[in-house]
Amino acid sequence: MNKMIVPAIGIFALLLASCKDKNSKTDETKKTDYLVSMYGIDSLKLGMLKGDVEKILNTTLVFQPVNDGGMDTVDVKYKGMDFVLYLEETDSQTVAKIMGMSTTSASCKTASGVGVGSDKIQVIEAYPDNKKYVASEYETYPVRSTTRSVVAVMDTTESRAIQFHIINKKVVSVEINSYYEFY
Amino acid sequence: MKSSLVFLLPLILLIACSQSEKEKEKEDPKNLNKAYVVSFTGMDSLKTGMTKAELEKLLGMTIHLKHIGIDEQLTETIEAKFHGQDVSLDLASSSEEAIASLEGVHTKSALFKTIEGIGVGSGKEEIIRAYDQQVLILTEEDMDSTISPPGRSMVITLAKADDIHQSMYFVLVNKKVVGIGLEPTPEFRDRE
Repeated sequence: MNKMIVPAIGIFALLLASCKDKNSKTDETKKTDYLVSMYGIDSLKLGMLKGDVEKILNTTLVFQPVNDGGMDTVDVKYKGMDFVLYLEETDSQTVAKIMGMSTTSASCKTASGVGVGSDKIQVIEAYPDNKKYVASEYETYPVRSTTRSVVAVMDTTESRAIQFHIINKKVVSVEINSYYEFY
Repeated sequence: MKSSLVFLLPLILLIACSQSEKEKEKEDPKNLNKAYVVSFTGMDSLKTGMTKAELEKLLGMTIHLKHIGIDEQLTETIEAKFHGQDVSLDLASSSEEAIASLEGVHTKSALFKTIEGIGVGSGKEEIIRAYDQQVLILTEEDMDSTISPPGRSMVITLAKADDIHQSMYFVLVNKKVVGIGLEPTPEFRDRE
């Protein structure tokens, strides 16, 4: 009887350990953060050409520039997360490049850990050296919202910006633009 | 002789009384609890757009300009006393008219506060909370030491939500307001 119990306990312990290992791997996957910076989110970078983006996303992007504007937005999935890419014509007008992107995914965070779910004040404090525009967003111009606001963090040298869109003092989406002008 | 004394004495008394009232205003401890409202249009009765003559009347002083109407410079700052407090007045003139008017004003006095109670001594977070639905521009940089004492300095500009060209600003050192002023929003000065 005793001879049976020892291997049984051993097998049980092995099973338990393998289950725990699987769970910890799942937790790790959940915790994966994708870095948000002035240059892009994870491997999606501002200025990237449409062809390069298609390789990363393993899909074909349909670019239909708005009349005269030479710009278009495309909804895509990146690593399972919802993204909107802002494309614009390059000088040659034959290829498009990324001029901006936005996401509502909580897995995308800045180096200081700011992202969807962060407090407004946390965003402001995270960038001590950058100029910041903090304003309520327009409902319909010129009426500003009483619940929706934005914190636009400007690049220290260029016109790039990260915008944190906020509802009731919590970040709900993160947007990056290669050119930002507050109005 | 007697008749001239009869006229002179009341006049002397009147001048003495008015001087002592002015002194009282400066020194009265009650004044320390009195706050003068800072708005997008001015500080108390000191309003932007006032002409040099109007300012002279309000402040009871003669303003001697060194640049406007004299050389090419169209702006200049003068120091003055208002309600017994030190204020810097930014005067500007359009090139055509050469008439100086008040474009901005700045003070380090704690007696001047916004209607929300923000003034010298207020904290950074207090400003952000007070103007949650307004337009704030936060600029952190090395400030001119003549404007603020040494320390980590920043300027928070509060632009008027429905006209971002007008603004108040708060100079902060180590997250505390050390000066308050108003001016046309620098970022949008040249924008239509």
